[in-house]
Amino acid sequence: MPKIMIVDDAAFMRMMIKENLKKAGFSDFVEAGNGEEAIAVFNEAKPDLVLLDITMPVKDGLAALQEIRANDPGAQIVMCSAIGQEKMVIEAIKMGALDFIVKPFKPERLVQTVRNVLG
Amino acid sequence: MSLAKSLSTMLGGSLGISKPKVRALDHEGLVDALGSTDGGCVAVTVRYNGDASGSLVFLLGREDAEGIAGILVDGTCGDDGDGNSAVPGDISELGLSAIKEMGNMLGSAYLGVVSTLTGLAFDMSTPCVDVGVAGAEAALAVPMAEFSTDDGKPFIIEECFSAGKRDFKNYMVLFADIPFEDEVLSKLAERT
Ligand SMILES: [Mg+2]
Repeated sequence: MPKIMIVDDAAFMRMMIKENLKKAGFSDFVEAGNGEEAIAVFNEAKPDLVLLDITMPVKDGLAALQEIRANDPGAQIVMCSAIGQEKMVIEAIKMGALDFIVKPFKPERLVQTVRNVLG
Repeated sequence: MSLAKSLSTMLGGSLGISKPKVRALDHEGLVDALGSTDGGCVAVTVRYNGDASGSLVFLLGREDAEGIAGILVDGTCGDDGDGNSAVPGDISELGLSAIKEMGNMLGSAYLGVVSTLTGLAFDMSTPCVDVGVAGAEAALAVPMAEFSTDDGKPFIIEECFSAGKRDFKNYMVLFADIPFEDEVLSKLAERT
């Protein structure tokens, strides 16, 4: 069972993402509430996939992406962006993010993206 | 993008959606327009900086906030199975987190449209949420003092929709330290 790390400063978004992925059959999750926590949890849990929010306090998603990928160039990361963050998404893809989803997203879109990346 | 569209995208289900109204209002007009928040409100504020700076404030009357938090957290679009809409109650931490995230998503979406229309680039802050017993006037006092200029009025985007058997109202108020052209207002109306 692949381990999925959900990073978002909104507890509601983490719950929503987790519930939708549970319904799709995934069951192994770790979570973080900002970019700094994300780096620490990633190093400890070594997840197969990271869903990474962009707008977060302490350290944002782009900074976390850069550090995680510097430590582990094989890290598989999907950005969770909002409408209006297109420039940051392009930046993230250049920095090695594999894909992105745009909030608000349909549950099917989330599941499809996760399945695509996990192959 | 609007709150109603966001809810129906994330949760599925059917909502009665009306097109949001966009207006530029002075201080008094703004306070009048926010009538549904008189009995207390929940306000989510994001700030932006860059080629212009200002604030976006997402506002819900207390009861509407309670109902929408219930809808989001329970994952049903305003229908509890008996055909009743979410029952107002206290807003949980999770519910407040949901409303804060809605303010964040909508703020980003509106700012994105303004950026496209004006060619100006902005950076947006993380959102702050406030639950107030006072009306919206208190929630808007800080950005009002900071960003109201003689020639630039705040824009207000007002949306009404129904979920289950209940009607909901929500507002987004855009403050800026520069006046935006009327053209931005009319195009913003087209795109929301
Ligand atoms: Mg966020």
